[in-house]
Amino acid sequence: MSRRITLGVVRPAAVNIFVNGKAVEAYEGESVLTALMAGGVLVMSRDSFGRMRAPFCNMGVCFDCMVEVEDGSSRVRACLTPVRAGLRVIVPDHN
Amino acid sequence: MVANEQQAAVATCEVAIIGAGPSGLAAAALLREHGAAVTIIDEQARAGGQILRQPPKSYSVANWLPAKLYDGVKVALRAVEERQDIDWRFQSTVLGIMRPSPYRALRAGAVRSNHIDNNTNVAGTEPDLASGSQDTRGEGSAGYGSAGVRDSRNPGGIAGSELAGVSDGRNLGSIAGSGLCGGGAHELWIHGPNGLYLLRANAVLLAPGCYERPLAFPGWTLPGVMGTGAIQTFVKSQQFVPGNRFLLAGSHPLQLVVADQLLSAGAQVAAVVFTQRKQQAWLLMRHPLVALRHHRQLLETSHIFRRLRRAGVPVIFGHTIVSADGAAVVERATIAAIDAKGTIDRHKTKVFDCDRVGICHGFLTSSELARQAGAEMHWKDHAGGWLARHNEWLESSVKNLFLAGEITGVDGADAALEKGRIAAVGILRSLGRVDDRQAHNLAATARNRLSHQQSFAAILQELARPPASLALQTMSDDTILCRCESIKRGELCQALADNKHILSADAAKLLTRVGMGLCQGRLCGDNVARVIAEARGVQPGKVGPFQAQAPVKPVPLAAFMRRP
Repeated sequence: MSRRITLGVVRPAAVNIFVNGKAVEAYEGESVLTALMAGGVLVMSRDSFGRMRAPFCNMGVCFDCMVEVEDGSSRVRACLTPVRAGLRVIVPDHN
Repeated sequence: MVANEQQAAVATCEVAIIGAGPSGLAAAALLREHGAAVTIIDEQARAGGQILRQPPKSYSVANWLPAKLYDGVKVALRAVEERQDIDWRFQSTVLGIMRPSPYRALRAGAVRSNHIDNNTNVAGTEPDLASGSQDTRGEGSAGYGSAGVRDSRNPGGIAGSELAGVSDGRNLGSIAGSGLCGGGAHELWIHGPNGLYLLRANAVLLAPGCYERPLAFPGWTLPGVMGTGAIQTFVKSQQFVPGNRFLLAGSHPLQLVVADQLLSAGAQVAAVVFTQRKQQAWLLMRHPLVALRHHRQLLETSHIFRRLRRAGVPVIFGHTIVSADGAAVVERATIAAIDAKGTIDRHKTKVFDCDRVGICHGFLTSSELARQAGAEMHWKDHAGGWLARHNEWLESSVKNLFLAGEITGVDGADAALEKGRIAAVGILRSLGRVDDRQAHNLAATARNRLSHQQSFAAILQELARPPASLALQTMSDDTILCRCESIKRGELCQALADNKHILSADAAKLLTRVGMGLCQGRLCGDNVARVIAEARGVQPGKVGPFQAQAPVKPVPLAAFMRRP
């Protein structure tokens, strides 16, 4: 499984984000994509054909990590969006 | 510097630098040294570009990126990163480089004058044509008048010439002759943390960098297959190992660096696979230029080889990835041998268990803004695909649109530093801050270093080049070519067979939707061009890139509804 490196790394205090309503531990400043993957989520959305979309470039080019944030009011690239406490993210269910 | 002016609908600045990577940072340092006001725009949260993707500010990381190859760019980063006299605009996407539009001016006049007081400081001492001064011209419609003025800064404007005729000719003349703003200003359309706005700049330095050239093969859209650079960024910036067991396959030496970083971070590396045959790699490494001038890099490479061997990681030459398989995520990857002619031998395969695959076949320039702005481009396959043409000052064919870094050829970070410096001198010269003789003196050292860097880069590009036909061999008819629209190679081929008149990527896009999705062809464009080129018996450069239009990256409709 994926995991955060802890040796030699000091992070701020953990906060919660809510992934499909469920609390997931994360750190302010890390990318939402990292927080999702650390929480075991790899599929960020499904396209109109039902195909699973998972991150490819991690630098804002591929748009494969677009997720819905807050109450579905906006879609952002998870790799470019920093975690803040209480952020609500929606991803496909089966992850 | 001035945080609140991001809220203005139109801001102004002297020099706008797009991209806070090595070239942008080196340019900023030199421009500031000579008194030019600098605004830097980048999509990331911190400076450094992809090579120095920094950990979040809230982290503290001991011994970050210790390898020597980062030394030069780290110095450039530390030199400017904390400077308060640079206007940093992070987490901001440039959606377009616009010609100031006379039509928009008619509508935006009111908004501009409301916000202009916030903006005058940003531009430093430069006169701002958008400020109240031109409104005092009196006679005639202010709207048409300002339209004419805007056009005078941009002789190349298309619609402008007609409107200029309508406007007051005397005003035009006097303003065009009134100093630095006399020609070629640009407006950047930016989506930042506070919404959409325009940033007017007397000169723009475009330093957008590059991204991984994706290889399409069966299973490449399966969750767990990523660019090797993406994996590396998780490790170096996020301090996160994005999987358990990695297979790295490609043709670029970066793979060795990433494998080493993954091992250090405690991950397993199933294998590192190179398309090159071993003899081919050794021949180039023993090139006298490399051996003499770059012995440090060679030494570092041999250390990495030793560490990989000690960890039991096989480094396999003369093979390519041909498929990734798994139920919901990658579970295994298959590689196959490549013969001396570059043909895949599907009888000679090996299978590796892994949960992540990194692919790394060189880089493509982020060329969309240059293309959208109308800069002349040319195609050079192994140097990054579509590159922007430039003069000796790295000015593109569009006046006051300068270029630096990989957009002129993927020559690496150390060369990018020198290009940034040369472009900065070019900008100072164009703004009248230095004369010709001073400019040549200022740029001499950078030019000298750049020519050394580029001869090394040329060897590396040759070394890192996959077989020309690799992508056409790894894609089956069933392989997804366009990830965004889920278009398979077979669908494109069928469309090409049915429509013999289709010769360009754009025509194929209109017919099949290939390249029409969220990434706007950034990921599929190169492979689409190869498929069309093969079908028509031409070079991919003849097929052309997809046309780039603003917004070059998707913007949520909500951003248009929000008033900044």
